[in-house]
Formats: sequence, structure tokens, C-alpha cells
Amino acid sequence: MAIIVNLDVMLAKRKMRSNELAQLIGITEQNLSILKTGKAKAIRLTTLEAICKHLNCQPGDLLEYKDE
Amino acid sequence: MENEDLMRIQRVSRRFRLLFSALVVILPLLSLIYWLGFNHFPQEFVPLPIRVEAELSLLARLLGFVISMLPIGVVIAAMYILAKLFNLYEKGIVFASPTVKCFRQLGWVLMFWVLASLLYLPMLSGVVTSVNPPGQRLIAAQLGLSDFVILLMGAIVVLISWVMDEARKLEEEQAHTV
Repeated sequence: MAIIVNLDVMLAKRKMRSNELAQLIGITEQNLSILKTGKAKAIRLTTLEAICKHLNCQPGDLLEYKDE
Repeated sequence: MENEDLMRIQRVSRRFRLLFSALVVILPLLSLIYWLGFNHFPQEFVPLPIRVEAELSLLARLLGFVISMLPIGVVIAAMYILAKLFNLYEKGIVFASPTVKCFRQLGWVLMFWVLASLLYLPMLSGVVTSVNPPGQRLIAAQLGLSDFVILLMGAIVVLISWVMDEARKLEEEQAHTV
């Protein structure tokens, strides 16, 4: 997919673990893994909002477009 | 899907899987028993609209069994696919590629069944009346409204499999929406 999710980069920058974030935003670790591995087909705005809130970042920090 | 609904589907599917799995074994066995004991069964048991005047030789009975395996083979294939489908439902796999494939195969099997039935009657009538006196040997053929209905049903099931494939895509998208 041309959209790259840089969640693992942001997690590393904030020194936060995946399971910790999953718990904070109220989604399963499995779903967070779908997002991290780029298997996600869509992301809810509420999920994006919660991630941005807890990682203290902008959606643009998490999502990147690369022309394939 | 509600957990309780899914559990009910799984419970019923298990029973159907067992039934269809058993039929896959039972049907050819029943057919073999029928053809081996053909000469001992009353005329009403003959699955043809014709009379068999004399006893059939072992070769004729074996040929009868082989020919009757044409439509029965198609029915067995249908039972096997149904057993596979209910096995998937039993595991809670409802809208997935393998279930869609089962539906598509079922549609084709229905259409093949009409073809097998068309071949079955002329071939079988030729074999079982080969023992009749000259002038009473027959080759029968039959094409009825029911054949067209089954053909139509097969095409509809294939169409339903396409619709199910769309449902599969939706479920897949839903599963990958975070």
C-alpha cells in the first residue's frame, strides 16, 4: 500500500511499548499489530485521535504517503 | 455476529457435517448392495421406467453399478462439498474464501448432475434391457422440466457465491479496520 504507518517509529520516539499504547487507546494488541505491520485496510478517526493524543503527535507523524 | 448465534450455527453445522460425511460413504455402498442383489429385488425397485425381463449377469450388474455411479458420484461430490462447508461453519469460518469456493463448487455440481442424469438413463437402459428378448431391448432418454429447474438452481448458486465473495471482502475489510 502507498500509505505507510509509522507507528513503530513514533512508539520508539516516545519510548512506549505496543501493549501499553493498546491499553491506553482501548484496542486489542492484535489490532495494534495489524496497524504496525501495515496490514490495516482502514483506520477509524477515533483510533487515530486516541493514538495522537497518547503519543502527543499529529496524524502526519503517523501516516506517510509513498508513490509506488 | 453474536456469540450465541455463532455457537448455534456451529452446533447445527456439526450435525450436518457428520450427516454429509456419513452419506459420502453410505451412498456408494448402498448402490453396490443394490446392484449386487439386483436380481432379488422386486421390479418396483428398478430405477427406470422400463421392465427387465430376465436376470442380469454379474457383468451387467457391475456395469449397472459403474453407470449408476455417474449421478451418484455427482451427489457424493455434493455431499463432500457440503461436509467441507459445514466443517468450516463449525469452526466459525462463515464469510471466507473457502466457504465461497464451496458455494461455487456446489453450483457447478448441480449443473453437472443434470449432465450426468442425461447420460445415465440411455446407458443404464441399454445395459439392463440387454438381457430382454429381441424387440424388447430399449435405450431410454429423458429430459424434463426438473432438469431445467436444477440447471437454473445451479446457476443461481454460482451467482450467490459471487454475492458471498462480496460479503467476504466486506468482512475482511471490517477485520482489518482498526
